[in-house]
Amino acid sequence: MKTIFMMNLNSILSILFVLFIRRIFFYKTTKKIWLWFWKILFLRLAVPLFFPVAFHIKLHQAVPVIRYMRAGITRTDTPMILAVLWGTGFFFCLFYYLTNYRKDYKTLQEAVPVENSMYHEILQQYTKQNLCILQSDKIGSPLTYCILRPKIVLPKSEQPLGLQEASYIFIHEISHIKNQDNFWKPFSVFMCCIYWYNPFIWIMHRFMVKDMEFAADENVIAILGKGVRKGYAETLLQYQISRRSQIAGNKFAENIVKERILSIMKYNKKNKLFVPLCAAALGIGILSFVSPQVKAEPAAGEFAADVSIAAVKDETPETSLSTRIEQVKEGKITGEAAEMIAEELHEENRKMIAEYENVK
Amino acid sequence: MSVKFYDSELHVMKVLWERGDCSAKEISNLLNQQIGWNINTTYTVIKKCIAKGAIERYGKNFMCRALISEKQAQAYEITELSEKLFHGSKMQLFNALIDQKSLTEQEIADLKDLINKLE
Repeated sequence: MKTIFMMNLNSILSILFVLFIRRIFFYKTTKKIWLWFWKILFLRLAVPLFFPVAFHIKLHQAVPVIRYMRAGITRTDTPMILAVLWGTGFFFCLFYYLTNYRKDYKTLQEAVPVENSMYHEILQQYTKQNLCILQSDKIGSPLTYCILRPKIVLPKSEQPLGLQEASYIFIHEISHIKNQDNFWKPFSVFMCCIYWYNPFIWIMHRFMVKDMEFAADENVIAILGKGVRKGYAETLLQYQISRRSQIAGNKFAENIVKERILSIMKYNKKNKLFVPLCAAALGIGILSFVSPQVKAEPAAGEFAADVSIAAVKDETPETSLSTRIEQVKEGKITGEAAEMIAEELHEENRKMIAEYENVK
Repeated sequence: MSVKFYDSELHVMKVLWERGDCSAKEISNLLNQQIGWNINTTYTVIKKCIAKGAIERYGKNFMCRALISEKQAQAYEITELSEKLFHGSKMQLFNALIDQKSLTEQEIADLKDLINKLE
């Protein structure tokens, strides 16, 4: 319980820190930086979920605190009522998003391939992948979806797109595909469902989505040059105005057109100079918010974690495992005897974890 | 009853208009070849058409029959277009068609014949 709390606190602090730095450096560096850090933060949140419980080191070195957390989440120090509450929230959010996503996906499935050699020529200029171009009369602005075989869907228009406009749109969507945005968006939504109680995760998601758009726009300007900014901005506005329906996917014109136009106009090729500076600042900032799990047990990490688990059982003080561990820590027991105690400890934990598996 | 068709529904309707009654499986195989739709997608669209009253399902193996003919759909679209942009006047719509100057000599002759038949 405490670890979950610390983990959330850690992520809140990290998010605030990134936002703070982002605020200062936003127009001065490439927008991809923020994407990297959002992705790193999301991954950190995902780590405790995907690491198997049977992760276990022989020597009494830092027992991966992940294991402790995994066990800790389901042991008695997490009250049942909270687990139930979390579960309700989680399934509610998940259900909501899955239903919406499914609806949108079905709509996009009805899109029809577009036969246009110009489009395919433009595509080939900017990507080696074989992308499908489709069109649909149910969407308001171009978008891309699907992770394995990315598709670009254009809204239906009476006339085919001009060369310039098509370039803008395709480069933008290709940037999304290259950044694997089609994966990160649903992944981050999933994380938001898991951490539904933490509003900062939702905030982070919102920022990541925005930053995805900024990064794609930036890519267009980087490839085509500063001269296209006006034309690109006009294209954005055009799709902003003619909305037909809101749909999931990476939209060409999300709700943030104004911010995007600002970001485009302030684009500067010299931005690259600030990248290492920012990365360093962020790296230091994030790393210094070290694993909360280690910090949570001030009596020096590894054994403290295991001791708490062992202490759940009732034992007489003289022979209790925790006492012997204390002695090892103090250096009163060393060498082979200490190794045996460590083994015992791990055995205890293995049993606990097996219990938990059975209870499940 | 006339209905407004989405693009996706038109694809299904066109298959029926061109080939008469088909089974849903035939339609989905054909559309898979033509436009790459997967089977589920086609079935979804067919069901939407049924809900709209444009297709009727009968028989054991999901046979489909178009309840709305191509002519009816065309008439509906023309009426809607003339109401939207031509102040409800089909004459104006017709004028616009002629104004396009895209009619060949043969087509003009055919038009004259048509008008004569009307009289």
